[in-house]
Amino acid sequence: MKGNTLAEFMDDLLSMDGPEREFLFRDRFFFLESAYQENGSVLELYLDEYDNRNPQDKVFLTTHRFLGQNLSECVGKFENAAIFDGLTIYEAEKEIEVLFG
Amino acid sequence: MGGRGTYSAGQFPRYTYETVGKIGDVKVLAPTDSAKALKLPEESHTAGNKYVLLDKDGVFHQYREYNSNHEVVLEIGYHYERALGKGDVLHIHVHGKPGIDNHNSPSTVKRKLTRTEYQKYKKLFKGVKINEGKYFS
Repeated sequence: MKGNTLAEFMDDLLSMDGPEREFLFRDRFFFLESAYQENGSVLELYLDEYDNRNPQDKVFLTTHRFLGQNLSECVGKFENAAIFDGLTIYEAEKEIEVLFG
Repeated sequence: MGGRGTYSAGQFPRYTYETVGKIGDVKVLAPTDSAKALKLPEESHTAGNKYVLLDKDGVFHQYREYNSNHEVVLEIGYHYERALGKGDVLHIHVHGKPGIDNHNSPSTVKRKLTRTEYQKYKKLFKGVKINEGKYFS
């Protein structure tokens, strides 16, 4: 991983309230953040995925959502999700460049 | 600021940010290691400080204000934030409770800026393309 170490990336998810983070994986751009749903009882860690082949005009593709009662639950689901072309964050990390966060 | 941007309660950790300029009385910070991702410290080294982060093209990306306990109390960002609009969106996080660990808590409000807020902070928004109808709440 460039920009962060993998440990920094994962630790910050838990210790900094799901911080805003922008990163690249292959030809995709991801924006990661967390938010409480409207009733405030369920937390959501989400990643917006964009086609980044033209960085000046990114095209939104999908949102990956990980819900839980707390951030630890959300991060646990994220860790196990093969959302990076069939890879988990641990399998994809060598191809990830963190731009912000 | 020090170890990954924390004040560290009077300790003297290694600095991870440096001042690379000023806009008015606000310091522009950057990571000391240029290979690191852009970010601002989670806590300020000096109580009540304010910091700005510019992206690699010199465009405004983030601004943070900290209280007397070095905790984040307000943040303005300019980046992709799909819930608020398409493309880079100028927006504000107003903390109901201070500290980075409350950044996305229900007490923190995230929204577009008001016109009054825009007028107050606009000198910081270097390179930001403003479309009033799109960006003001």
